[in-house]
Amino acid sequence: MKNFRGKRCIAPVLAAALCAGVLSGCGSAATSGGGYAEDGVLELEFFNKDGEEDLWDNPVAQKLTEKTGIRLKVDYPVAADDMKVALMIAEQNFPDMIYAKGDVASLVEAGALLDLTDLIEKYGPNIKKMYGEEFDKLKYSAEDPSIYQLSSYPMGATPFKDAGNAQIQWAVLKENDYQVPRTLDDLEKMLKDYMAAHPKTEDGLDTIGITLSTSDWHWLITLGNPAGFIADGQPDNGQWLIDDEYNAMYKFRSDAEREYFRWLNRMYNEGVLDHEFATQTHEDYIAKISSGRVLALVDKDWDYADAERVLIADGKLDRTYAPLPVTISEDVKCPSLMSQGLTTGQGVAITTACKYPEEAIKFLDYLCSDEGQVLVNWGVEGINYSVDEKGKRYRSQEEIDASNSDKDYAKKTGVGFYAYPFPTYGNGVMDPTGNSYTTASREAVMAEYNKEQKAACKAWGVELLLDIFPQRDEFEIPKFSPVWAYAKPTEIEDITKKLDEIAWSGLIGCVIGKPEQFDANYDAMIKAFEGSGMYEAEKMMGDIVKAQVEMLEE
Amino acid sequence: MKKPKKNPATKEKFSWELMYKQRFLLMMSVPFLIWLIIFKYIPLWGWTMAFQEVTPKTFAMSVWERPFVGFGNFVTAFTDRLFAQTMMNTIFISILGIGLGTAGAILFALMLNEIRMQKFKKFTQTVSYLPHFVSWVIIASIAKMFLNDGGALETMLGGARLHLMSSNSPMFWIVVCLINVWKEVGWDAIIYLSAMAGIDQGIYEAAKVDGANRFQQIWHITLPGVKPTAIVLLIMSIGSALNVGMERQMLLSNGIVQDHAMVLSWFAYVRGIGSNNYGLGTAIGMFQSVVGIILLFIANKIAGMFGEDKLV
Repeated sequence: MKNFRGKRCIAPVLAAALCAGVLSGCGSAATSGGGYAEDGVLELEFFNKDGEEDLWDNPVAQKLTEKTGIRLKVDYPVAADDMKVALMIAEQNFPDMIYAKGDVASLVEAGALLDLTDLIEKYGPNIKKMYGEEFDKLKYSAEDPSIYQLSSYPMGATPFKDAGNAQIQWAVLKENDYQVPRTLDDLEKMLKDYMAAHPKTEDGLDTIGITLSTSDWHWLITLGNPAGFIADGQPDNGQWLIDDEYNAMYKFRSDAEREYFRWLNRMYNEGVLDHEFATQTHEDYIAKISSGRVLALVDKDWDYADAERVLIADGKLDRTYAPLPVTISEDVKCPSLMSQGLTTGQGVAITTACKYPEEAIKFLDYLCSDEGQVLVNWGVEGINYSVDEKGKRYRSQEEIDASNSDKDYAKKTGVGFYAYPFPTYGNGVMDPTGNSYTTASREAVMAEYNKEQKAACKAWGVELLLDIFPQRDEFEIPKFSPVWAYAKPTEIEDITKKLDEIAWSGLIGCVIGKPEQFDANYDAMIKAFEGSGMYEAEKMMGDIVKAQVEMLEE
Repeated sequence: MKKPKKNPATKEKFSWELMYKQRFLLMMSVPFLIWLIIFKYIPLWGWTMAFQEVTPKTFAMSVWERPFVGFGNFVTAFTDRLFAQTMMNTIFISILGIGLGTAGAILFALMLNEIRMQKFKKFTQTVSYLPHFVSWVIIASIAKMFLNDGGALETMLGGARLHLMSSNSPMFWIVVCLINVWKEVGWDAIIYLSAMAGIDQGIYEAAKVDGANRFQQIWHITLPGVKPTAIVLLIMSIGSALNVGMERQMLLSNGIVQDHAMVLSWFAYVRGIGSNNYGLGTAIGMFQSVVGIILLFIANKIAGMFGEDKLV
């Protein structure tokens, strides 16, 4: 009997012991795994939300290690809507440096990011030089003026390349003697005529007028954003339209955008808009474009770039796309070239778990230096670029062709691979030697045009394709940085997330519905917005924009 | 087919003496008790999060410091615009899935059972349960290729616009359940086939002598023979009615059908981990568990009413 009781006691004791072990494991302080490797190089963990596999073995990465003594161990999400950052916070387990993109606010709330202000003051002269007058925009918010992150977007860019509001195949433009469709009606007519004349492509596939990618977050790029550009003529402020008094409005409730979606709905029912778009994945979308059967897109060049490379490699140059300043009507101006100032709110940050913050900031400072910028953007001298006797940097034709047609070029050579999301100068900014920091300059862009693009410039009598767009100086620079990149408080994020859920399926539903039900569908969607706190979110968003404007004016 | 009732004589009253007599048996169960406590009961401690605010702001705090919000998280969850919809989806997908799944499996088992060519029967059966072993990722892409707008099915029907995967309507429930039936029918049929194999051949002989044809044999002998099995399986599945797997839902969903694809476990994931609000996620998960337990007890009661042995 006694014996038995003794045994019975073991269970709870054992359980308690194990339990204590588990709990103490949770409680330990968070430090990252960064540290010195055997070869004396400091290895820092870097999580890149937009990253891909990178073994840090390309020539540019090697050179960066040689110059700074730092090697990055790059981690990246495996799927597009990965919860990795959320899990990091839950586990209190952070890398040394992080590019969290839209998840910054939760990191800041968790106290995971280091205030870089003093570090930059001490070790970051090049960072200060790079951001110059716009340095204050890096401050997190009016209430918390710490600098948690640099910007992942270029500083002071002059656009030489842009995809405009919509894109159309050169083949279609050529049939119309390079006449530029200005409004949606022009575009519609052009597409319908071309589809009637060429119902099949050379390969025997059915011609598609327009297609969209809406199965994942790309719906924001091909379905959501173009509505704001084309219908409202507003630059990218995410899901918000900001008026002159800095009031915010959830953009899909604007009347102009309703008309844009009505047009898409009509296109769908008239067979111009791909009837498969609602269920296709992004891979299907890229595959369709790569086959050359899609006449027009409402997308951005970085999104369909992979498809264009395939088209070029297949010799279907006339199936690549021309940027168009299309808008809903003549009195709406295409905002593609408008400058919104420095984009802040997303960028590389150093976490509080980093044991070597000084080394990390020095690494970032090197990237911002003239030497670092040339290395990142141009590559290694003698291999990726050369300098002529006048001190001008240039790239050989093979190098240019490789960079345009090989989709693994950046990954293999490292050229341009570390420009985003790290801080970088924009196109057209000149370094002290009189060369531009990036490979793109007006002359370089002109020289690198392919024969379709050259022919178009000749037909239009312009130097750059973008010269047919409303120019940058026609727009005022807004006093606030672009709202889409803001690190928004979680209250707004929660509401916006729900609004976006409604808009995502709601808009697709409106577009593929029957035309006579369009208004009813759209009204139902707006009603659902109202029921999910749209007005509160608008008010909060407007207040944030106003606070930022006030902070920058001081 | 009623299971033999337990002999009351074998049921001994609890006594310390008996415990002592079985001490070695009891000791052998200790490791499993420990396992049960550590992995099933101690984690329930995490349910405290359902009553606290657990957001990035409070992650690093200890359990005692986090702000207590009472039933706030539950209120947030129940008033969410998707909550009612999610409940409906979960319940209807569950019921439809159980109904179609059982009917399909029995039908398929009947057909297999009637095949007299043993080789062909074995071959068909093996092929039919292959999809069970294939992951949902692959099944979902096959299904999408077949059912999407402009997919194989629409092409076969001469370009009809069916909108099977692009109507934000309850049709998606049926689509999901039919895909599930296709994947699982072969596997689920195994148990019915074995039940059918257990029916006394003598009964069939007798029926044949009485002049019953094949359909009459199925109707009067085979189906009543598998009834107890069907009832037990049906009842057991009620208990897990709310646990509709989220991976299947996520993989089959797309931009437009999300509202009708959302189920409780996915909802907990989206609102909890997705929005960094772990308190809310825990509350939804807890709700799911509690309702699940209630359903289980109801199912157990019904089982008793049908004269089956209670399962719990």
